[in-house]
Amino acid sequence: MKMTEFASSLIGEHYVKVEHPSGLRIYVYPKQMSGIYAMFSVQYGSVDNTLPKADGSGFEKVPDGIAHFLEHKLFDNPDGTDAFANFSAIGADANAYTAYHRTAYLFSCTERFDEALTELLSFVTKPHFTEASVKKERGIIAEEIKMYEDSPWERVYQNLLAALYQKHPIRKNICGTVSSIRKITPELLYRCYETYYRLSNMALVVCGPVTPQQVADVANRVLPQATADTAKIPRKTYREPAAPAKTRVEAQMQVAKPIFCIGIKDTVLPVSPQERLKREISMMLLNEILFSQSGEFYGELLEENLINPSFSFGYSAEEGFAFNCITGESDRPDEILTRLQAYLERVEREGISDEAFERCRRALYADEIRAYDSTEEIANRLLTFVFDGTEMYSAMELFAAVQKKELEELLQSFYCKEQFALSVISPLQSQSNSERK
Amino acid sequence: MIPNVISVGERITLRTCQTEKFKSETLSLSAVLPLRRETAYLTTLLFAVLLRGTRTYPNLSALNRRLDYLFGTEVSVHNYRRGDMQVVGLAAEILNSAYLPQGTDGETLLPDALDVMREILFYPALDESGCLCAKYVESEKQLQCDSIRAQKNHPRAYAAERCRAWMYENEPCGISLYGTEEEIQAVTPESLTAYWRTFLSLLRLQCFYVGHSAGNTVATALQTAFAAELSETVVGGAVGSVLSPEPIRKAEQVKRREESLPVGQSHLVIGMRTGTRIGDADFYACTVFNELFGVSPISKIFMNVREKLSLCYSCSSTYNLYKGTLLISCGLEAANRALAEDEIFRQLSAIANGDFSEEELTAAKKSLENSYRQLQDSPGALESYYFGRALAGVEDPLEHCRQGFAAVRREDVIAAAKKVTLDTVFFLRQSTGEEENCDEDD
Repeated sequence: MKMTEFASSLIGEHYVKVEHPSGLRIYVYPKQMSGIYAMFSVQYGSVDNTLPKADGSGFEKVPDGIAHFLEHKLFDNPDGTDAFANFSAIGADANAYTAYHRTAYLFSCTERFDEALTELLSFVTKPHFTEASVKKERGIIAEEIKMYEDSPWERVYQNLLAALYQKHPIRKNICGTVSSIRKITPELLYRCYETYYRLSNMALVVCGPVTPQQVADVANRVLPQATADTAKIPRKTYREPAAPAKTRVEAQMQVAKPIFCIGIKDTVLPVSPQERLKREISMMLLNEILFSQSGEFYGELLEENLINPSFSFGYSAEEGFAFNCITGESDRPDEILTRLQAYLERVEREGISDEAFERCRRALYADEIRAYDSTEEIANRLLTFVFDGTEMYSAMELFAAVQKKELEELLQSFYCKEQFALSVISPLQSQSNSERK
Repeated sequence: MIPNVISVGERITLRTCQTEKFKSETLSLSAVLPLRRETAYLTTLLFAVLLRGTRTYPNLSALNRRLDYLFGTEVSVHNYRRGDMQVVGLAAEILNSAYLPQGTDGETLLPDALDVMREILFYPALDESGCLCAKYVESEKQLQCDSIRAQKNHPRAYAAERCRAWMYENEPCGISLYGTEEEIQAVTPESLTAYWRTFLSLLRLQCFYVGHSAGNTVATALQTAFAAELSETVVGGAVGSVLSPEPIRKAEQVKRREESLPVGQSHLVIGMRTGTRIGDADFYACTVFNELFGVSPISKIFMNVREKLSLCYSCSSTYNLYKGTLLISCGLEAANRALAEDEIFRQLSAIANGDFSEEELTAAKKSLENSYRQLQDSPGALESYYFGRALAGVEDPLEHCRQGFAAVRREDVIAAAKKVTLDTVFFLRQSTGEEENCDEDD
């Protein structure tokens, strides 16, 4: 087994990549904490709502939300046991989540790590789907979907993505819909599983007081010693137009004050993972300079009572999509958009001050360092970098190398009026009449 | 890791956990106040106003620019109910100076952060009249009113809060930290300023530090920072216990309340009295009972209400160890309410009747051991554990928890379940929404 070490002299830590003969990539991050956090993940998420046809002639659509449904059902073991119960019996706390591009199964524990890791590697590699259990799960997931639908912050964001994107499946809810999950069958789950859940398409990340050898030993016992399939899985790509599907969407919900989410679609999607990371880091810094609580935009709008501390922002970039998002509560959401565009034009004209650049760089530098205080955060980060095809510690170097001029150039090119979309959740009409004057 | 307690003069008590484990240092400064309807919302408003600007950093941007410059030092307000007390104050998260980039030697982040915290507490931005800035007072009054209205934006949390309010209607911990819109609108810059001055005159700071610095270093930094402001002795304002002297151990009658909201999912929240709180002999037994009943992923209500009956996605129980109460919360279809409610009570009876396996009991104890041991991995969790216990007058090092849970026997859990009484059932009913959620299909 090949082991490669990656070290950071800045934070005095390191991690090891283990290339397992099964094709699984294993990453071990030794850290002196009380708990160990382990995560077994597949590069398959909600946007993979198609299956490649066997004859190579294209793709077949599968119901939205199937990756998430599969995540729920994988905890059922063929021997009739429930993986949750097996983890509980040894004092490990298990969970799972589904994202756009990945599904992750995880646990944390403070003892009996080898047993817990054995259970993790076993249950994820042994699917067992039955008609009865699929039927039962529909009720549970339907309530999960309704829970998110009742959250105005989830809805405003989901509606924004559906407005920003015309074709890309990021516009669909990760859980699917109450009607799409009705079409999910055990047979479809098996087909998705067999297509995507291959060890060569997966990664194991462990962070805590463990050694790479300890993890490799468990993997050797549980996993095959040869790679079954390393062929690249064909993925449907989308020719996403530059323009948003809609520039403004509004829905009414039980809210006290309108909630807004402004999205700016990034049409520059670097093919190289390293370039994508560089752009992401630059955008993070630029966002901090433009929108943080120490910046002018936030201060002015707060003083005018146009926004409140719920205001937040973030740039997301994954393979196939990237966008910037600014969200908050305001009685006048459309005015926020106008003010935002005027503010951006002004900063484009006047440039970024040296003081703002240095101050924001310091703040983000500290955030970057502090992220290494949590095993959960480290494991999730590491997994993101592994699946993106970049090296985690390189982010700190890229961060230190960003120049103010690059940010000014990015600012000039990023904000095109044609790429904006505004999503609003406004109070219900009846509510507005009775409660709001 | 048991905190070292240092008395920094009469008005400052410091608890420190010295550790090299983290790349940050955290320091919190708290006031522990009795929960009173007349003052709880004022305290909330006061801290929001204090954070808007100081004499040196007159607005939020200036204040945050200073903090960003101190390598992203984060100063935030914390304001929560612990038992029957209100805990309010400022907390700073500071980068451990060992990780400052090269060429930034000589930075002293901890004293600099304390300097900002002192400014916020003692030297906020004032108008010419010597009152807290009217524009900040007005702005924060509006924001606090908005927060009250926005509680309904989060149906699950709103339902839990409503259940709490009914359950604790005659206890201090049922008092809202936000007050009512009428109360808030009646506040003037003059009245809030007067309240602030009284608050300072009685202030006793309870400080908690987690980080690499030695206790004495932190104590000296605190002493230096507040030499002028907190050196005079005061009469009154002694820090009371978060435990009520007359706890309600048993519910006398069941309260049933219902509200409706135009949302798509209903919420059932059930409040119960366990008769056991922290410091009691059967505290560990009650904690294990709750874990078995409604916390772990194989808890009785999760396995039955969710997994067996498919009635919900979330179904769990929370133990308020300072009040000795349980809050069980479940999001579901209104039509399934009776089914879920019956099943929750059936599972409670099952435990009281000893209808649980050895495996379930062991799993509950193991799950607790696991989560308690991991508290040491987070500065916030360490503070919450030790500061909470200090305020309850209970000494119980984390290291002892393991023995505490291990010693719990089957009959102890049964006894704990038998003591539970039903207090309040709150139901937030989904009313037909005015618009159907779009259900997109291909």
